[in-house]
Amino acid sequence: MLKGEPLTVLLVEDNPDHAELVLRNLADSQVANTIMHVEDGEAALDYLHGKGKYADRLAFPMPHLMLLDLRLPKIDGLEVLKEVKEHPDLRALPVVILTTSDAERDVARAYHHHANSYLLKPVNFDSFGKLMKELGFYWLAWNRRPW
Amino acid sequence: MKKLFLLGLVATMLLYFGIAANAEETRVVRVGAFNFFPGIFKNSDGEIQGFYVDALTEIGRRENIRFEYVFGSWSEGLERLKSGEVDLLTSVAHTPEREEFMDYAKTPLLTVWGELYVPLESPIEGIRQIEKKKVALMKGDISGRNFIALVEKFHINCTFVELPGFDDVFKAVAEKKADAGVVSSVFGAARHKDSGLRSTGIVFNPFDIFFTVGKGKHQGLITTLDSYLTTWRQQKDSAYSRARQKWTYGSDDPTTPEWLIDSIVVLGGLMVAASGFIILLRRQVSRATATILQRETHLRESTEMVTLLLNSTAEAIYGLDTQGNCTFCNASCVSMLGYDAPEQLLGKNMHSLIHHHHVDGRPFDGRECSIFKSFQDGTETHMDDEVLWRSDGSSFQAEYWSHPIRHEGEIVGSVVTFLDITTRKQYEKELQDKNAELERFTYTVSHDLKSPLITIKSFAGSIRRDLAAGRSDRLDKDLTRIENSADRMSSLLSDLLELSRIGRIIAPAELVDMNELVNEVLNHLTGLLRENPIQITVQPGLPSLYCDRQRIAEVVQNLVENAVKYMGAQQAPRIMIGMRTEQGRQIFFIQDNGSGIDPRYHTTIFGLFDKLDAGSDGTGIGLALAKRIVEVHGGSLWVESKGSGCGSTFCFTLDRQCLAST
Repeated sequence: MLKGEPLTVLLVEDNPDHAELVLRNLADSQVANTIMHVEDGEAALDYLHGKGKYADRLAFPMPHLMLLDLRLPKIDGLEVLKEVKEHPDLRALPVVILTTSDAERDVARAYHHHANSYLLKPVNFDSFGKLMKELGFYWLAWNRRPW
Repeated sequence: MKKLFLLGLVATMLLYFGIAANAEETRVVRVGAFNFFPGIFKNSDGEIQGFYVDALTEIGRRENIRFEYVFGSWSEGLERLKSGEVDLLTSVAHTPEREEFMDYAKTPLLTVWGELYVPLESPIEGIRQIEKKKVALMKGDISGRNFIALVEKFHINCTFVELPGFDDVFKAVAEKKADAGVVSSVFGAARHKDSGLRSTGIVFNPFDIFFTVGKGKHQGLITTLDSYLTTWRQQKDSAYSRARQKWTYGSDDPTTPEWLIDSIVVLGGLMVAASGFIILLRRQVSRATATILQRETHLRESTEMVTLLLNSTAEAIYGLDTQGNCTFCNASCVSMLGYDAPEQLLGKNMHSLIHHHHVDGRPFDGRECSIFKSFQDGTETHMDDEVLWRSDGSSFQAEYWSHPIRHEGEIVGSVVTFLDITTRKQYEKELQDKNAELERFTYTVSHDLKSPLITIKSFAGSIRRDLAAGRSDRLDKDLTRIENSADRMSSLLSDLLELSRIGRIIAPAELVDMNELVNEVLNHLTGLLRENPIQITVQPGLPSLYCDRQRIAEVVQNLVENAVKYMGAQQAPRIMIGMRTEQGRQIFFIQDNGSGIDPRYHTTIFGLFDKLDAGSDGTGIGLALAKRIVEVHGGSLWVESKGSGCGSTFCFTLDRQCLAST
């Protein structure tokens, strides 16, 4: 299934427990080689722009998928989404919103800013695992990646 | 008076009836008759007739008197009375010489005057035209004598011919033996038509004529005649009146010349008509006046009503003509625009006076104004996002309506109604803010409470699976995650409870010395400050203010704790607590030289459960809480910081009322 191509996921999640859940489940699905985790919106943008401590692309490779929480310290998830989708070099990056919020407004705003997918964090551990597995397969295996 | 008189009359009549009844004998009274038509005259059959005769006959019937007539000329009659040949004369005017040999009845038989008659075709119209003419008159007649005196007075020369009776006078004039003739008015009125004569309109010297008897004789007779005459002349239906009517051919008043009657009738008719017309006119005028007055009253009342209505409404109302000039304005309009009297607005162009600029200060072209536009297309306008300008140059947010006024289909102006909606706009904004806050709140709550729930459930599931797989390496760590999440949920819940309390429960305001309060807070934080050696300065002489002491202490504590927490790598940490005055506002501040906050986050840091550093302690409710407390006190809380490494200054104000007591 894997062609030895290094696939990177950028996880933007301020809750360390949730990050751990994503990491565990994605690792189980075995689709991604690398999961990079940042805790806030500002760090996410710095990472994508290769700014500051993320300047080294070898250590911090350009991700093939971004899992983005909406409620983040400093720069909000929606702001990150908006900036990514408005940036000519970044907008092709698939951005999957992974959040606890099922507020209509969040869903609408996320799609308005061209989110590629909007997923609710399942409360159930099994569901969480299943979602992560399918998510990984879909976006990293089945989906034709932009780069 | 009249009753008394009638009683007297009845008494007199009874007396005479009594006398007559007792006497049982008919008295004979001889009357000197002459031609005095229609009072007394000899007809063609030689009989003596006339209304005197009829009246005397009636009296005779009642009084048992037989009147015998001795006919002759007027002067012969006088002689016969003198000699006692007759007892009674009719138609005698008073003259001093006659009074010497006659006694007169008290009640006049008639009032007569002299009147000058001429043939119908005669040119004589006035007294001057009888110059050198021949005038016929009756011998011994008072009127004849009066006419001679009149002519002399006017120095008119004319000749006179004296004839025995009025008949002879008329006959002479009709036969052109004389140019004009003087007769008694009573005779003339009755006879001029038969003789083919007309009155000249020259009338003179009215006088009364009476019954007379010989001096000292027949006194009872005179009294009797008097009493009948007095009564009869006052009664329209009396024997006398009927007789007089009969003999003067239906003339109502035979003593009045016919031309005069005609004139009077015509004049009377005219007067009646004129009076009628005047009455009619007057009635119409008064009716019209009444209508006008009524209308005026109605108009005044409705005008007063309109004025009252206009001035009692809270809405400002003014009227415009097609030029956009003010035609009227009510009290609210005057006061809302900051003027003293309507005169300051009347006639002024309202757009240039109160609507000249937009809210952002751009000039407002009158042609762009929707009130002006509503003039043009005749539509009603409603706006609530424009400002109106007061006399002092300040402006207020206004909601206005403009209604065109039409007269016979044409737009002649408009009525503009407006309200000052500054307060409403403020409330609207506050409401919007509150709604947004509420939305943020529910969103935050659902999101933030769900997060630990997910952690708990998911890691519990993970543990179960690990147990099933016999894995125990991460069990302890996962259980800790679960415990921490449960703790976090617990603190989130208590924080939320705390936050909701602030809005609802406000302790009564008390006078708080801010220096005292700051010192209390610092004492409270002794533990924290011992761990973090920071130089803290408190500005002396801070004002005292009215507030919820505990809540404001919480704010100060929160801000100091924040400053300590985010001091960063500062080697010489300092915190300054004080107050500055800016544009009349007293601003309390807690200033630090710590890590500072990027201007991008100056708003988000006050959000509920928002944290700049995901890894820092606490739920992120601290600043949201402080902000809420300050806002409940009518103030605001904000941060000033140039960014990372520049330190932060958290500032707050309170409602002026809190500070009033200083």
